[in-house]
Amino acid sequence: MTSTARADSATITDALARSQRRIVAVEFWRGASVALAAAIIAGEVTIIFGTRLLPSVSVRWAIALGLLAAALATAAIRAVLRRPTVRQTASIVDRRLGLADRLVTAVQFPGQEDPYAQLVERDAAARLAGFNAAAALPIETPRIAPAAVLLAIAIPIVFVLTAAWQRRDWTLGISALASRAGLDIAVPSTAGGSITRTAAAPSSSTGVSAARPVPRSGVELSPRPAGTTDARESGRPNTLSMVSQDRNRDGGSGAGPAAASDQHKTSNPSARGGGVAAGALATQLVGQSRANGGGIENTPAYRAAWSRAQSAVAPDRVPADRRVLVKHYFAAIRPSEHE
Amino acid sequence: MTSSSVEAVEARAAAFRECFAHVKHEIGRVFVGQPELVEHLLVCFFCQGHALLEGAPGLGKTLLVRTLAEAVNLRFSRVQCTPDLMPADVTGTNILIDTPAGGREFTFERGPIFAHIVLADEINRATPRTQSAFLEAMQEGHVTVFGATHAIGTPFSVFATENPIEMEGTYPLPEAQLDRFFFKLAVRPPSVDELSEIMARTTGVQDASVTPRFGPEDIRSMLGLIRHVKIADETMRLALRVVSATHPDSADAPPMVRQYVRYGASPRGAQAIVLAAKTLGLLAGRYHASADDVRRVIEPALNHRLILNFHGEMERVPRATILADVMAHVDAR
Repeated sequence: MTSTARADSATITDALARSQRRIVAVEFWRGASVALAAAIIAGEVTIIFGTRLLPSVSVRWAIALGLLAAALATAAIRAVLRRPTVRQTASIVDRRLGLADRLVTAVQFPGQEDPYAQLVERDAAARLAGFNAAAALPIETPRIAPAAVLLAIAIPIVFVLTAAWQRRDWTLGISALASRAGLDIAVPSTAGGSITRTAAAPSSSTGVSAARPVPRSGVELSPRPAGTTDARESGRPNTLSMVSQDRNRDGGSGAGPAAASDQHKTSNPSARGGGVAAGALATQLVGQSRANGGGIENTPAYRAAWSRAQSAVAPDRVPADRRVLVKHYFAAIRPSEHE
Repeated sequence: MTSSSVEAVEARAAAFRECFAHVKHEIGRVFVGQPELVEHLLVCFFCQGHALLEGAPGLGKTLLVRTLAEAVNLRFSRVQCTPDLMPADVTGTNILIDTPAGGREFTFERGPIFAHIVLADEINRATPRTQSAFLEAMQEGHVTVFGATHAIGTPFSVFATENPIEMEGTYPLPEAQLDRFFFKLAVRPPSVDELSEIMARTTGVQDASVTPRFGPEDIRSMLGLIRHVKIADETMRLALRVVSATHPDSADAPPMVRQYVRYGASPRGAQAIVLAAKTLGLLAGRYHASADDVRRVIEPALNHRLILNFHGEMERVPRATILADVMAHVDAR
């Protein structure tokens, strides 16, 4: 074999080796783009809508991240398993570059003494001058990937819009999303002039967020009356937390909007009128009264708050699956019998 | 082999391409239009195959074949087939002649089949007995008369013509004989522009003539070149899958084949496809056949090898349509 023939053979071998690696990379990207998009969607669904099945935010995040890792691993394994042989690579490059089967023929008749085979190799090598594997085998995103990415973007947006629509305040939608994701972000209020801060609660066992408004007016609302337990500690829906959520929904009462767990929301726009916040105030007063030895239920402020709460809640159209929560609500604001 | 061998091969390939281009050009001076038909005819000739030309009378089939023979300076003979044509009229026979010594002996008088290019005009008008006389010559390259075998020599190609209109008093070629034809080529009627060109060439004072170049020795030296052309397994398998898909019993057969075809193409069809594809590859400046070369010769190589069933014949399903369906089916798999 002449030196020219050897050089031709080396050119072809090198081009095919580069093409083979490139095909693996292309296959990885192709698989990864689909798998990652699917994993992101599944992760979003898990984090946002999996609160009942998986109350713990950290568990939901762990599952979402695990899905991402599994998607990447699957794409990598698939790419390696689908690594083409040299002949297959030659066939692919032939098709991509319109080489009329030059490479695949050259690969089949390599380095032979046959002058026809040498001519085939020479012809193929000449066509591979300046061969760029990246240009010949561009990374292509599967058609389904953009749709999957759009879906992945749409899911949280739809969730935020839905939540915001129910509360007539877009910041509440963002807060609700952040709450489900266990993120601690501050969202400027559009209704109450306050900043809603969603407390990160990655270890929450209930999924009930401890969204707390940071009032701009300087009035500090007690997040948890003394003597009560936080839902995160008790492991059951905390009525005070729910009160806090409802209070946060009340944009017109001065309490300011806040992220609330939608797990316990009543989905009742009419509750925004102030009664709920009044009920919350009543609950707060009850808590303070209990802490201070009782007696506050007879104060005018308490009675006024109680009556406002009752009048506000009375016209509520509570969905059937949320009535038990309303029951808890009233149980929370009701004065204890012995008091 | 050394690089000088490579250069020798390149020189031979260049000569082949030059010869092919010359013949094609010379034919083009006499025969107007249908370049694909001319190319297929030349491919068939250089592969040393035999072609069946089908077309209405007066389309220039005989002219085409005669011009081919003249352009490469080959011995040409024409046999006008009629029902009373006898096999001996084709192959030749022993005749009793007087020797210079005063005695008498039988001498084999060669028939028209002993030529480089034989035109069997309207072959379907000859009786099956005479048609079969062509069989041995076409397949084996020799004829046997009175127990003596006489080689025909190379190059040797039989170009038979068929008139698809007048079927009365004809003897359709049996499948076995059809299979011996490398290609079946359809000669279509000329377009208006082509007719105008034909009129200009044939009704004026100037007579189009052919300049012969090359000769039997040159042609013989080129013939071996084609068989050395490489074909990759993938390309070969494409041709084989197409042939396989023409059989209605095959798992690869498309629905149209199952519906209309009784028998598919034989291995001779695959041989024709591969050889013709190699020729096209060589003509394209390559030393290998490509999948596109294979696709280009599927129809002329297989259309006469498909035997339609009753439904296919009654509905007059074009074989080209079936083959196009086969190709699409094979490409899709």
